[in-house]
Order: sequence, then structure tokens, then C-alpha cells
Amino acid sequence: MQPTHIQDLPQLSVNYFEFSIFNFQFSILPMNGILIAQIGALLIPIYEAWQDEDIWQKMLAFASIATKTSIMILMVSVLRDDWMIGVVGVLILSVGNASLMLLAHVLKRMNQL
Amino acid sequence: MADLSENIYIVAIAVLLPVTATMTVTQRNPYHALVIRGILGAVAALVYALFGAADVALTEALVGTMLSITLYAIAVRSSMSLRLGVWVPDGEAMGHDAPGGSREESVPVPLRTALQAPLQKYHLRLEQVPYPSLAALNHALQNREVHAIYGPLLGPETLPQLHIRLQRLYDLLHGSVPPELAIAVYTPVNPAPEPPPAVPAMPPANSLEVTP
Repeated sequence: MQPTHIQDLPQLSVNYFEFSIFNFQFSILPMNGILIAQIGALLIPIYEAWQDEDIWQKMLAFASIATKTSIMILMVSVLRDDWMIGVVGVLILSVGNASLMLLAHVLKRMNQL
Repeated sequence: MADLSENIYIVAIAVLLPVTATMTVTQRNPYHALVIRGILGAVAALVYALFGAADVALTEALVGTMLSITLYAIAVRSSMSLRLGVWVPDGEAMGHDAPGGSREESVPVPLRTALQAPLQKYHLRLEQVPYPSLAALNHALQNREVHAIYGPLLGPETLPQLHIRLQRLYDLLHGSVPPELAIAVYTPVNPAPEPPPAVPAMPPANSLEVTP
């Protein structure tokens, strides 16, 4: 069995980031396209929250938006190779669900009393 | 061109902030406004993180969204309600400890639905407060513990009455109370007791000056 040398392995991540820094036109644009697509997907639950009068449909849209925005924060953090934003994105991803749960409990008990 | 292609998504995300803010201020129902405020907080946290302010984004998500929405939901829920005192005799009251038990039956369902229709227009809840005796019911109305009371206050042979102590609530409700179920009565309670006599006014400032 031939041992593989470390320099023979394709250095995907390093090449990718160098590539993306020095060639804006060809490497960042696809990532921009993904972010633009995410913004377009974010518009769907925003529209739903705007036009639907049912409070639980609005909560569903809130859940969708909270998750989508934190995934976008994680996406941006990977794009910029910024760990600080990445950690904050993870925290917001977990905290958004907690706030949703608290609000849902308060709203649910509103109909009981 | 490279700058524009890099910044186009920043512009697109930043535009979401005024959009959601406009949605928040155009909501009429306070609970809907709270949910939309959560959406605004999520978008704001995204914008802050995008501009590199990770600490601000974290604070917005923790305090601005989670804490403030929860506190406001509790505040709105406890303040926007019509407290209706009802007479639940002792034996009945002992029977149910769980909320939402036979307390629901103290006001007949047709009357309850008739009262809820005008209240829902103003996003008010109907909250029933049980009292063990008619005297306690009257006392609660006089002490402003409840906004209205419901019960056979004039005797068992007449229709039960709905005494409302606030003019505005009476205007809202008296038209929608079915006449065969109850009689709506406007019962203003005595004005609040006089506050204790004020501290005597300070003497005029110039009298404090030392005169030679």
C-alpha cells in the first residue's frame, strides 16, 4: 500500500479561500447567488406572516424566519471565514427556538383562561 | 463591478429591515404585532452580524427578541382583558381545581359567545373570576376588583343581571346582550376614596431668606 503524502492531497479549503479572495468575479459570485437565493426564500415566510391573520400561522412564519436568518449568519461566517460571527450564529439559532417556545406557551395559555 | 456584486446581497438584506419594521407598525392586533416584532428582531440580528457587529447581534437576539417579547406577551395578556365576576356557589367551586373546569358553566354559553363577539373587535379577553357568594360579588364590583359582575343579584325570579361599572364597556356590550338571557345594567361605583390630606404647602421661597 502506497503511503499518501500530505502535499499530494488536494487542499480544497485553502485553495478555495485564496481563489475567492483574488478573483471576485468567478468565485464569490456563486456564493452571492446562494445568499440571494436565501434572501428570496426568506421573502416567502415574510409574505406569509404579513397576509395570514391566524396567530399560529404567524408563529410558523416566525419560526421559519428565525431559522433562516441564523443559517444565513452561519453562511456569511463561512464565506468570510469569521469564527466570531459563526459562534453568534449558532447561539442565535438555538436561542430563537427558545423564544419561540416561550411565546407559544404564553399564547396557548391565553385561550385556556 | 466587483464591489457591486459583493455588496448586492448586503443591500438586499438591509432592505428587509424597513420592510419588517413597516409590517410591525401596521399590525392592529397586539399579539400579531409581537410575533412580527420577533421577525424584525431576527432580521435585525442578521443585519448586525452581516456588518460585523456580532455582540450587537447576540444582544438583539437575546434581549431584544426573546426577553422583550416574552415580557410584552405576559403584559398584554394580563392587561387586555375584561374581568367578569361570576357567582360560583361553594359546593361547585370545591369540585374543580383544574383551570377551565366547571367555571366555564357559570356563564351560559350563548351569553358568553354574545359577549365575546364585541370584545374580540378590541382584542379583549373575557376572564371569569369566581366568587363564592353574591355579597362577595357585589363587594368585588364596589372595590373595583372586576370590571363587571354577572348573577341573579335582584332575586331568583328575575333574569340574571350583568352589572358593568365602566361607561365605555357598557356602551360596547349592552347592545349585544340577548334580552332573553340577561339584563345589562350600568352601575357606576362610588368614586375612589379621598386621598389623605396633602402635606401643607411649603412657605414661599422668599420667606426662607434671612432678613437682616
